Amino acid sequence: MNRSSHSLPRRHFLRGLGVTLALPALESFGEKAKPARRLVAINIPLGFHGPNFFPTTEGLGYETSDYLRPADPLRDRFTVISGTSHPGVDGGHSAEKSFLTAAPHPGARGFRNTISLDQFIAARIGAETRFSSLTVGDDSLSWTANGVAIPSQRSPAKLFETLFVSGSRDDVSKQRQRLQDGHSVIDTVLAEAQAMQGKISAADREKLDQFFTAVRETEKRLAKSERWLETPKPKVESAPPREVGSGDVVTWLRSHFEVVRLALATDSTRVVALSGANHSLVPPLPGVSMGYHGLTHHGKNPEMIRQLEVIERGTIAAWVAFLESLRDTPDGEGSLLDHTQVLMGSNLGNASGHITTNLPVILAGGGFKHGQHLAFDGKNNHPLATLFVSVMQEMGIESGEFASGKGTMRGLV
Amino acid sequence: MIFRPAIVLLLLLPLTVSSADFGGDLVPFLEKHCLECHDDLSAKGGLDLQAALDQGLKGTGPVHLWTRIHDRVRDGEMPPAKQPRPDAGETGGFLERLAPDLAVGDRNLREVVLRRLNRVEYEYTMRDLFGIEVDLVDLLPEDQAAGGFDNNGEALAISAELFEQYPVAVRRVLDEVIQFGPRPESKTVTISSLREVEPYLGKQYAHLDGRISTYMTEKTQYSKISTRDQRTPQRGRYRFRFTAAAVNTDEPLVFAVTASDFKSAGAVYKNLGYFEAGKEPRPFEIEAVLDKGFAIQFFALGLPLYVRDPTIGTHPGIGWSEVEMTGPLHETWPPAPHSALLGDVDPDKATLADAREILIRFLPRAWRREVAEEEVEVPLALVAAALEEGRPFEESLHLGFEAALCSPNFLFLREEGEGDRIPDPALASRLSYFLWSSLPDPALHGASVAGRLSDPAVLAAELERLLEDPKCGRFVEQFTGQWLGLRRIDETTPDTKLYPGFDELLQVSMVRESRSFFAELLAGDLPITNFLDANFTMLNGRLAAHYGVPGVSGLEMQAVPLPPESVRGGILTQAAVLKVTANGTNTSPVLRGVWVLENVLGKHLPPPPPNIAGIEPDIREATTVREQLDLHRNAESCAGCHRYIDPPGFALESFDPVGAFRTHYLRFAVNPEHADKGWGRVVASKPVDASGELPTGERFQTMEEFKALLLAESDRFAFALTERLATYALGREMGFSDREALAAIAVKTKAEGNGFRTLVRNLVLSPLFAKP
Repeated sequence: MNRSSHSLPRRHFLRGLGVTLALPALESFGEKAKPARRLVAINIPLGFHGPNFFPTTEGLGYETSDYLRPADPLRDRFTVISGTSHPGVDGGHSAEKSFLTAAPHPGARGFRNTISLDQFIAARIGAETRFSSLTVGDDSLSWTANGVAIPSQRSPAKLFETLFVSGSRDDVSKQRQRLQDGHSVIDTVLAEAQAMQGKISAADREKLDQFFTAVRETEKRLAKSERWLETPKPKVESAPPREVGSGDVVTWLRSHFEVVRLALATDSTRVVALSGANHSLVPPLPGVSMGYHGLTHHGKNPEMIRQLEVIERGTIAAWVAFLESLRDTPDGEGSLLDHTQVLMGSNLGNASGHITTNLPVILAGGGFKHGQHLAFDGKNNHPLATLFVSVMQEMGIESGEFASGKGTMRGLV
Repeated sequence: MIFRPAIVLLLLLPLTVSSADFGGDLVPFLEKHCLECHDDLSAKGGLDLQAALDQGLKGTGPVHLWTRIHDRVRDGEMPPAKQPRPDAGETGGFLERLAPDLAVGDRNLREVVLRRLNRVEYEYTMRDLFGIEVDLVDLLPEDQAAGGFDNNGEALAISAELFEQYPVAVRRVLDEVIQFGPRPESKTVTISSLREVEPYLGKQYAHLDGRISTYMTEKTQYSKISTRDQRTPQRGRYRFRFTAAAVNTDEPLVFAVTASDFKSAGAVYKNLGYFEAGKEPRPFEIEAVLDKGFAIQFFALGLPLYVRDPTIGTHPGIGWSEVEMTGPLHETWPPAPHSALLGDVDPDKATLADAREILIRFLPRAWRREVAEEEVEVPLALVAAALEEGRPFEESLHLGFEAALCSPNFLFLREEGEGDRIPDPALASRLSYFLWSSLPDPALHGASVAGRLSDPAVLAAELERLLEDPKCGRFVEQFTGQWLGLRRIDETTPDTKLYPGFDELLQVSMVRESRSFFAELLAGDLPITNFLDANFTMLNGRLAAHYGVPGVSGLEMQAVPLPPESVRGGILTQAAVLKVTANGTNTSPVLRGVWVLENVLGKHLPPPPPNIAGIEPDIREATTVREQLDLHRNAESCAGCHRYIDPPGFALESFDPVGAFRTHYLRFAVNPEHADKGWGRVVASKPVDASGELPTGERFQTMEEFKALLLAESDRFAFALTERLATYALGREMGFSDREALAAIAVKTKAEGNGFRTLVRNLVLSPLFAKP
């Protein structure tokens, strides 16, 4: 990938070569394109040990914490947030489902999720990139408006393949035929569903409506795939990453971060939801001999906490490296970090007790001034979804509320 | 407490209850006994009765609320014990006035909503429809669940993420079925692991009597003893023959065989079974359908993870010979599934008329009903258009199948009809999806199309036939997977320091115990009280050792009578159930208690109030979970539910996270001199206190005493089990208006000996089972 600080969008460059490409709507020539805004939302499902994570003082001059000390050189690029959670979101590990949706009682019988932040944004800006969003990691953070989880990609190598590896020319014409066949099949299926409508009960009709919506959405995706069929996938200089599983917690996370950076740099997508490791395997880190999940249930055992710290420091180091790599990647007039918000948090405030309040949250990047520890009330938490509203507005999305967030997050600058 | 379902005369009820009509006759009772705490000002516990009355009974929220109000008054939970109590007459009157309206409001929620095939049913349906072995679940996103099961019509969503995968699945199926090409040559090759093992001979491996032996259990999913040197040349059925023997031991040892393609990006691993190797070498034969590029590998189980100089001395191990691989195997060519679907059509000469013939044969089975001629023309039109474009016959036909199998006629169970009974073809599907997770076979399909299922004798006979069929094992797996939580068996890895004996074989055995116990009760029509306590269980050698039951050997599960002093017997003492209700390191009386309440006693509790600080366990032995919970239970807002949740949870504290019986909690004490290496040992800490008191005041000291109390309430369990079965069988949640029907089934079953098979039969033959 050409890393020179070209200020023009890549499509302009291709056009100049006289290559005819069936491209989606283009900005006009000669105009400096406004840099696209991006979001990477990260959930670390097994949380962070609170006493090590949260700074004890607040405001702009806050004293950094044990875990955040390695991030201090970047301190003016992020805001630490404490005293927040999603009202009504309990259920320990099930709260993962609600991290980006804020839907209450995810562990209850008959729970129905609502749309997640990344999907809400993708619905508004996703048409402009080949992939409207990416859902990555061990579990899925991404939920559609009718409560369906979008499957996540666990493997960094496969993610890379999806983003940057194309089939042969022959494959492309087969793909086109397949997409066209897809349209014909969909027409038939829709006709049959319409024939059914008159014969079924009211409750059934609602379900059939869901069917219609799904089929029509599939059709839109087929059409989008057709439009992008002629556009080759971007070329990147990096080699594909080695295959690594989430058992190797830190290496896997770093690998994912690097592929995500490439995805953003090539404008393959502008919205990423990434879920960290959530398992009982023993990460190959020095001094760690017990499984990750088991360690989070340390029950205050000091030896277990010591081992857990190794893993959590590794996670934070990976996050710091990610921010640094975004800072060092030019994007338009600035860097990727200038135009990308990185929201990292956890659905658990205290994994040992499965407690879902006082969540660890850090917002980095984008256009905020940052540099502070924004502390809300630890006994009466502030709704985390106000942060989501602030994030969306920074991306230029005009939305005044999101789930339990009825406005922007006060104090965030 | 006597369990008495409400009896209501549903026939005389109106169809809806308007808010204006509702509740006037309830006001006197509510004013006298409830309004002090539950008016709009105090609204204790979040309940404002005035608002509840105004809301009426329309929709899920109000119906659930009023059901809860009804039940709490019926069970004497409300008014609370400290308040003046209404007398039996007042309570009875209140319930009698509420019940009819509540039944009507509930009934409007209880229709089976157009139910799509979930992904398990989708795969089994394709397998049975085409007669092939194929994996499809991995292609489809996870299903939604409600009421504890993932075959709930209302909950199962259809999304673009799901729908766009269906054509991919159809392609995989058709690639397997349609074989117009020449018969692939079946070859036999002999594969040795020597090349890979050779550098390690005399170190970790030995080569004796033509067998390569290992003395350690592998930690990873990779074994050097494999057929990797010659992988499967193409997708097909293969037979693997080899001999194996246990080395340096008289006891048989267990090994596992897995198949993998070893692809670096997302390798697939399939378990092909567990086997016992004895002192005498004996031959083994395994057959499996595998994709191209697969190899099998061998894993010895139950051996140490590390042995120094294992080939020296008399360490026990297992040795395997070279493997003879034969395949791809085909009994006939073209294979039977191809001929069944396509007849003997020649793709070079076939025409649209041939395609029409094929679809006319195919559609009624695929769509599980009679199909009119005009309906066949719809998918056929796609075939016609493709043929006209000059596309090959196979490709054109593919489009017709894709349209048929992406149609709502295939994807949904269609149950439209008039009146109180779904039509026979729908009933046949309901029955086969209940017991086989799949479509009706030709015999059942035929009976339904001829309208014979409305004859109870025919329905009963079909039921028996389906129960006898091996496909019934799918019901056992899917139902126990969800009712007993067995699907979650892999979710936690027990702490290896505290529970070093826990291994793969133990986990597999414990799941098999629960499944085969369930199957045994079904096959023998044994009383359902066996679920609560039984004088036998299903064990193999490994699990028997875990439970301390002597005299059991071998890999196969067998019915073993339990000694009278044994604490085992019934689902609450089964290791698999105990594991899925713990978190691998600790147990939680709340988790287990809630499980018992919901799945054994049929009591559903609302979630905890918001902003409750959860308990942070302190396993430095300063306090036990029980001591910490005691702090909660003394708070009024917590006691309401915890007096129900905690007692079963406490009784189950007698079992650790891997289901072993314990008298003391364990902890790992690190040796301060070796703290950096994490060395130490397991020590017993505080003793387990498994005593408790039920809300009725009855006390128990041990698990046995708790089980005795449960048995005294077995009617309640019978109702709960009936409700669970009906929820799964119909694909919808049960509610207030179903109680009469469910109670009738349970009562009839009890009168007929309380057998489990009898219960299933009474459910299937009941009007409830055929209700839309």
